[in-house]
Amino acid sequence: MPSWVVFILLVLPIVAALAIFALERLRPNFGLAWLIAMLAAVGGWGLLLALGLRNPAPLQLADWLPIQVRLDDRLLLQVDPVSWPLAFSLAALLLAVILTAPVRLGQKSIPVAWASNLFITSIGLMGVLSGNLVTLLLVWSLIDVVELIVMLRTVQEPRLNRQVILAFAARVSGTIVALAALVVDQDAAGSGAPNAFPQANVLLLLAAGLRLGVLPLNLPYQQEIRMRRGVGTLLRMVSTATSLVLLARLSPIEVTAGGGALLLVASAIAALYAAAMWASAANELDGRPYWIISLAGMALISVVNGNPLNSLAWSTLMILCGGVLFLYSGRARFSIVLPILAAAALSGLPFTPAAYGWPGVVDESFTVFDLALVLIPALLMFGMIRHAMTPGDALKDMQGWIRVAYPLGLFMLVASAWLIVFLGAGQTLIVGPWAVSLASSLVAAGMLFAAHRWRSTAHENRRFEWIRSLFRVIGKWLTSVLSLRWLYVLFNDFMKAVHWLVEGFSVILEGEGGVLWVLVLLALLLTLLLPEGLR
Amino acid sequence: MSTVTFWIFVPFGVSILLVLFNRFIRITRWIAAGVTLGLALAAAFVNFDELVLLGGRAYELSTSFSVLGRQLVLNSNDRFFLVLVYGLGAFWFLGAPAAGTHRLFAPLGLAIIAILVASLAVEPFLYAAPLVELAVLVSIPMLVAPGRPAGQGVLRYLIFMTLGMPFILLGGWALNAIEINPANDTLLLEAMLLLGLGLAFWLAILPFYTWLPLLSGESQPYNAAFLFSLLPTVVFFLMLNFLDAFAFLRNSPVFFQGLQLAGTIMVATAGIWAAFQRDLTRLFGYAVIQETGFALLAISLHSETGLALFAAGLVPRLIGFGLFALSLSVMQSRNVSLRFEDEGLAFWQVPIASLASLVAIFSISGLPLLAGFPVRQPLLEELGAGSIAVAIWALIGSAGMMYGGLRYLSALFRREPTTGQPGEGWYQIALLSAGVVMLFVAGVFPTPMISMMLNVLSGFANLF
Repeated sequence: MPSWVVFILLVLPIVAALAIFALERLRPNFGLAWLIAMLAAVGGWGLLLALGLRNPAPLQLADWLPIQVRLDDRLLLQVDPVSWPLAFSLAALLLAVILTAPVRLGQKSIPVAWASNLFITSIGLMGVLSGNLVTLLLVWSLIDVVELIVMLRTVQEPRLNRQVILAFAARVSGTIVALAALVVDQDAAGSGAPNAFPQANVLLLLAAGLRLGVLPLNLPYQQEIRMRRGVGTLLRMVSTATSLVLLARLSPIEVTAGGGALLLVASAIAALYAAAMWASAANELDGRPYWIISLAGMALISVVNGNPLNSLAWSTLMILCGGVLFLYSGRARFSIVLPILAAAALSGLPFTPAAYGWPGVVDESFTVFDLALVLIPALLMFGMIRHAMTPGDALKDMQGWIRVAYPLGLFMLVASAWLIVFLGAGQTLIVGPWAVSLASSLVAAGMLFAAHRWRSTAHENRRFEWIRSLFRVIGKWLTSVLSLRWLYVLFNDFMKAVHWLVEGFSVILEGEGGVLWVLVLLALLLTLLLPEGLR
Repeated sequence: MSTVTFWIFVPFGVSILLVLFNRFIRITRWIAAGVTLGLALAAAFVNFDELVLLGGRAYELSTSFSVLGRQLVLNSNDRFFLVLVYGLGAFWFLGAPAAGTHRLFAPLGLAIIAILVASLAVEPFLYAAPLVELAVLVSIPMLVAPGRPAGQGVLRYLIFMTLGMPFILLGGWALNAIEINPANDTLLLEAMLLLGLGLAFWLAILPFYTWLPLLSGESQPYNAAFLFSLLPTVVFFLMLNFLDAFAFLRNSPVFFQGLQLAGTIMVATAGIWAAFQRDLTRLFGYAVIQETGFALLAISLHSETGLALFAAGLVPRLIGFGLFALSLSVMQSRNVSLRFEDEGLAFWQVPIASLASLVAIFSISGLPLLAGFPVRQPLLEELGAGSIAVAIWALIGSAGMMYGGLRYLSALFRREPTTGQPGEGWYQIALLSAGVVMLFVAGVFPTPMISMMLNVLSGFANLF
């Protein structure tokens, strides 16, 4: 298939977004705007489905620099077994957002928001299809800037502004670490051809980990910022997907035993902590950052274990199963089936999409550490069902076509999760380590049962209130330790000390005696550096 | 007709006239902009080696001019340099009305450009030193607004620049001595040391850069930035001239190691210092130091790629400095404090200027998507091929500058939003927006910019 198909894939949502913007300016028509958005989303999803069957040639936009450098300076976009599952997931999420949008008409779901969704998805597709690190870095920055602008326009409080800027800073830090990976990677010098993705895998792992908020665990959004469900979900998922694609592209990592263990433990703690926070969150939107961190943690664990391709299973499920729940605003008795199907996809039971993810996380020799890993999907599934069972907007009061489009949109997400394993060259339907996934599912079922039982016998539980209080205290303590806020306070103190030193030097060099100090420094430098004949 | 007359004496003569009529501030700015733009375009399109057709008659351009027994030479090899320097002048003079510069900026700015072009054209090169010193002296009234006392930064600038002159002159004397006695290694080292020190003073290389943050805090940012972009550019070309002319210098590993060490320390210290600044003008000063450091690092690679990266870096640096300085001037002209503590109001009073300064900082720090990145990242990789430690320190410097930008971003959104119209005028908005767009376009599509800049290296035949 020719490479320009990739170009169409990226341009289609942008053209549709521009058409909607123009329509809104010239002759606002709500129905037509939705139809345009829907057609673009269906077109993108269908095209990607076709590209899954037959990958097109890579699209190389240009040799980026006119000089000979060590950098792989092509702007390269490619649909391959690594990028396709993520791109297809994003296309499915966009389709679901547009199909479910009419349900949220009362929550400012307007044509401009749909156009924004199309635009954001196009950037996300660009990111996941990036064929080398330079292209990916450019897209990372674009996403960071777009997210910064969207978030700063959404929030109006200085306290929330600070969270937005901290999140931006964390992402930029990840970008800097990725730049360091390019610098450290000197394999190109040896082989003669630059690498599309550097061999400095640990640095790239850290870069992705920083951007995802997993390595080290960082949660800039202490309080989830209220955004429209569609734009908020897409923005978060797009940003995360572009970091996850890097993980899947890493070649198996070679780290020392100690280093590997440290990375594993750090990722596992972050994932477990986030899963627990997700399960206990007030609602699915408050828990959204934790959902992302937890599944991103599972993807990271796969990579540290040397199975980067298995990370794709967790990554795609994060987008698709998460999408089901985050877009699940209208609720009816029958619609609970959809979150349950999504939870089943995440269970990892034989022939479910997550079954391909489990071998990346646990191996045949089951250890105590793996026991902790079993808890993560269990908590995630428990949280999914728990949040799905809380009351939402009544679906039965809505128009007939909305009642068809809405569940169809959510179903497309679940169906896409299975389609990826059916069609994708990277993933397949497998049995997987069924004992582990079964254990995880049973734990989730047990937790659901216990929670149900606790709620139904609430009036009898008063005498056990002290247990609840005890758990709350322990939970608070664990949260303060595991969230690593203490580490950031220490880091802040260190930066203050450096600041003090820098100020001191500035005062000396720029003060009255500054010129003399400069001459002393010069003398010192000359003494140290000059060859012997000139001293 | 002589190229020297057109590109040195004519602008210098115009600058004298503009000084005489400096009260007509609007007219002087536009005349200076028109003259520089015209000279840049003329240098781009007129071939010095062919007859020039003017009014139906053909004229031959002579490329040299004799003054008191010395030669001023501007030949075809200098064409792209002339385009660069006069284009740079036009860039700054066109922005002067938006920045609200004082009445001496345009006349003296034009004079400085003409003198610095003369410093590159003069043969023997030894006489470049007094010409650079002359440009420095002329720049003092430009940096200190009429009627104001000179601050410590300006005085230090004058001291260090003046100290540079004797070192260059002595270096030139040593070079002459080497021609008589080429086997004398000590003389070679002495010449190198003297020239190195002279260039270090002129380029504000460590440890002679303390005046930069001071000066950027004292003078009007736009005037200071004009000088920060012009003077190092010319001095770097003087240095390349030295390297091109003297084989012992370009074959000396010690010289390039010294450049690399100085560049690394400058980039790293400027980045670390920038990370903790609480004043935008000082942050600007450290940005200038860092850019000079990166230019040194590019030249220190001692390769064709290194030189290409040095040339490629000139445009992002120019746009970055211009945008940064213009936004600072706009903020100052609207009485917006440039200290981070008071920046909470800046975004609501002058939103475009405050965002433009932010984009400029990130571009200078080499953030992907902005103009600095396509030059900075390959440079870091080339450095890494030689020494990972040098590359990592340079990256730390870049990260420090980015951290400074993030702190500024945080300061901008510290307050509750207020409503009101943007405080900038339409011309200011147009220039600031154009600057931001240029930084993004050059960041994503750098090829045209870099290809164009590679031409300025055409005069250095021996360097490759």
